[in-house]
Amino acid sequence: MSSLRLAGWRLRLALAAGRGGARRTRGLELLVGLVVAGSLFCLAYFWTRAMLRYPETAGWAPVTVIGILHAAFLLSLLRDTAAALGHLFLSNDLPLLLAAPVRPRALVGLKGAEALADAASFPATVALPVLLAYGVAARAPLAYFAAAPLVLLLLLCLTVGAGFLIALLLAPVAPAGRVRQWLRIAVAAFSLVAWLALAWWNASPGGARWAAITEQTGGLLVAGPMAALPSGWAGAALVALVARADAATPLAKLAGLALVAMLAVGLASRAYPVAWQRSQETNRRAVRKRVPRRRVPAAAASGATTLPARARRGAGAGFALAADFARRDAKLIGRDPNLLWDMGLLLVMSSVLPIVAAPMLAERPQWVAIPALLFFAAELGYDLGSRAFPLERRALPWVLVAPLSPVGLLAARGAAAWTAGAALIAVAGTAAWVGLRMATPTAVAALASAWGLFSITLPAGFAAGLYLGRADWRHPRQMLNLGGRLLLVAILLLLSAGLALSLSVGSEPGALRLDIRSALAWSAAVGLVVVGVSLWAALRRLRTLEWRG
Amino acid sequence: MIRTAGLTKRYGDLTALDGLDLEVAPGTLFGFLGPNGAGKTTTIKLLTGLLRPTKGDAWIGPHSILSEPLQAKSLFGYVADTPFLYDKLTAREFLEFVGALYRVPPATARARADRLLKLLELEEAADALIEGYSHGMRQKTALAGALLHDPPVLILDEPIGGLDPASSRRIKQLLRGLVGRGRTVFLSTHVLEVAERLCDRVAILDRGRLIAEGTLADLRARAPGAASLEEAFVALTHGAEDRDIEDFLGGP
Repeated sequence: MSSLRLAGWRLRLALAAGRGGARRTRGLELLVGLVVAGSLFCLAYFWTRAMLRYPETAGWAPVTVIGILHAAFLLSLLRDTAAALGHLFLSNDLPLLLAAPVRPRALVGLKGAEALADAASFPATVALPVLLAYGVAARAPLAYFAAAPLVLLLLLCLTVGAGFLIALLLAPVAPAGRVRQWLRIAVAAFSLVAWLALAWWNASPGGARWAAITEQTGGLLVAGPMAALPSGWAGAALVALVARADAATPLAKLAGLALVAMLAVGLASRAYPVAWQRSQETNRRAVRKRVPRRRVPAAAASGATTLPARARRGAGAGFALAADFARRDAKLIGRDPNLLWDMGLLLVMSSVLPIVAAPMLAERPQWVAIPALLFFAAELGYDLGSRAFPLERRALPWVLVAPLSPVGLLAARGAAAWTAGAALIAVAGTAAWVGLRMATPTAVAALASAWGLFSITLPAGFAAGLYLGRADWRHPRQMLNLGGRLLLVAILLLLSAGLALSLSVGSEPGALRLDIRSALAWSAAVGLVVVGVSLWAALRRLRTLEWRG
Repeated sequence: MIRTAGLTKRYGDLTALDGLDLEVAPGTLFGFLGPNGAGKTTTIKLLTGLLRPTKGDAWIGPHSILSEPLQAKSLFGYVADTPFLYDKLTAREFLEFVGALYRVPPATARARADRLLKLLELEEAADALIEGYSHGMRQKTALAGALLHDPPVLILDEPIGGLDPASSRRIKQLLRGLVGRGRTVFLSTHVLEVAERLCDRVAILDRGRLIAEGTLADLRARAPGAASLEEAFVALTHGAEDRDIEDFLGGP
């Protein structure tokens, strides 16, 4: 089969995947992407305009653009290598394609096109709007607006090409699935470090030390070893175009390197069928994980052939079932590094939101710690609740055919999740109390608010997981559909609005004060309604849930 | 032990199951046969409460799956055609969890799990994560899960598929042994040799309708000239003529 015909078939498959209900999901994803891109464009435009207005800050705008390109490039390199492993060695259609008379170069080309299409969403939604906004704010010439998407495309070709080359080298010697897992964790860690760095920089009070660090970081981004990276060339080209200077050299270097990467992948594609065979052998040889077995008391080991009916009864049975679910979930989550990282990353990023969004609070650490604890509690509740049923994946029928009432099942899951979450909040709250030497009434009120908020978002999460969760997820981010993820954003926005309202209601001229009482009153009223509706919705869903397999 | 009355399932215009009336006596190994897409898996999901019927009802023992679901569910063990399990648990941990779901005392669940793992030749792999298991090992682990709480009824959807001959034989012996001790086994399969060798009674479903039910002799009698269950099955379900195969092989 020729490369063109193969690509044509692949395009037909991609279009067919958008049939039926998937079309609505795709439409919604596109809409959300446009909203995100539009919001980023506006933010970047106003920020750049503000920077360029004053001579002392004007120099920071191009440095920021270069910094964004460096971050995007390094992040994409990790992410696209993980994606390349998936496309070349883990995709479900590979046994069919490799058994067919298709040339390796055509196959690698097809997978490369798929990888490019997949990888394009991040630069298109995040990086491109920021670059275009910079160009508009800086009144760049038309050539800049043509160069910006070209530069991103060339960087994409580089990261995807490099990813493919690394994958072709790695997969024959290391289990592809495991390597991909660790790369995804590395991407998450990188995002977390960048987020924390941004939070620290945004929240820092200024002063000579902050200025010195900022100066040094800027220098590193623009000059030094980082200037030799392809993202450095991309940044230099765009900055030169804005300044109406010569951008041909960095553009030519970038285009040349992208071409070399593509040619290298083309040459290396000859080795792909052998690399795939070796990767299959490597995967099979990967040692099966063994879990230490608990010691069984001798009396229990004698074995019974008949069982008393309903042997586990009474009030203790409910608590015992909750403990069994908790034990099982701890293993399901704890043994999945991807899932653990995804949950941890979301928790940390949510907790740091107040610092990123409200740097003026940074001088009063307590007024950062309390909102951070509240965001932590809200996100934890929704996360634990919404993942509870998707965590079952396609093994959910085992729970559905068991003699458990919907109320009993929800109570057991709820008790397990609440116990675990409340303990985590207690640890976080106590750390803040002791570390920041908060007044006891303030700390107790903050902890009570956090537990209350957690108790509201947990049932909301259960309902979301039952209605918007997916059993067929392969990456933790897919456990909820787009609606489920947007619901979390809505909850955090609502919380932000509530905190801002409490802040404004409680403040007096010349002093900033967080009014805990009004926050508690507001939360209690909304909370009761949310808990009631969520539990009703979750039970209704459990009673009517059908498993079509 | 298992009874259905007018059991119907519709998805919009599609009738997956149309008015199924069935009765399975206790201590029977009952085979449920039919071509692909006949509605066998739909029937099993209706019996186990995974689907809600559009009309009709089903009983496991004296309990309706619609009005007394908890009581009905405590009476059967179920194995799906594709045995999805918890990949990040070991077989032993999975069985302990199933024991918890069915309220089996932990010590008893552990002891019974040990015996089932030994019986199904899963002892070696019992402490390895399920994600590394083959299809056959997953099938056997699922069967162990269905047997853990010693239910009077077993509902199995294609339990022999994907097993090696030795495992397949072992499981057939186990099923016959369970039936000999008064258990009821409801077995869906499209491997007719399994039905022919194991089952006391069979029912044949085609396009959502029950077209035949009885002993193997009854079914052969309904299809004159049929020397085996396969021939009776093909005759009763109007299977493709051999002539079509000849035409295909001789064609362009």
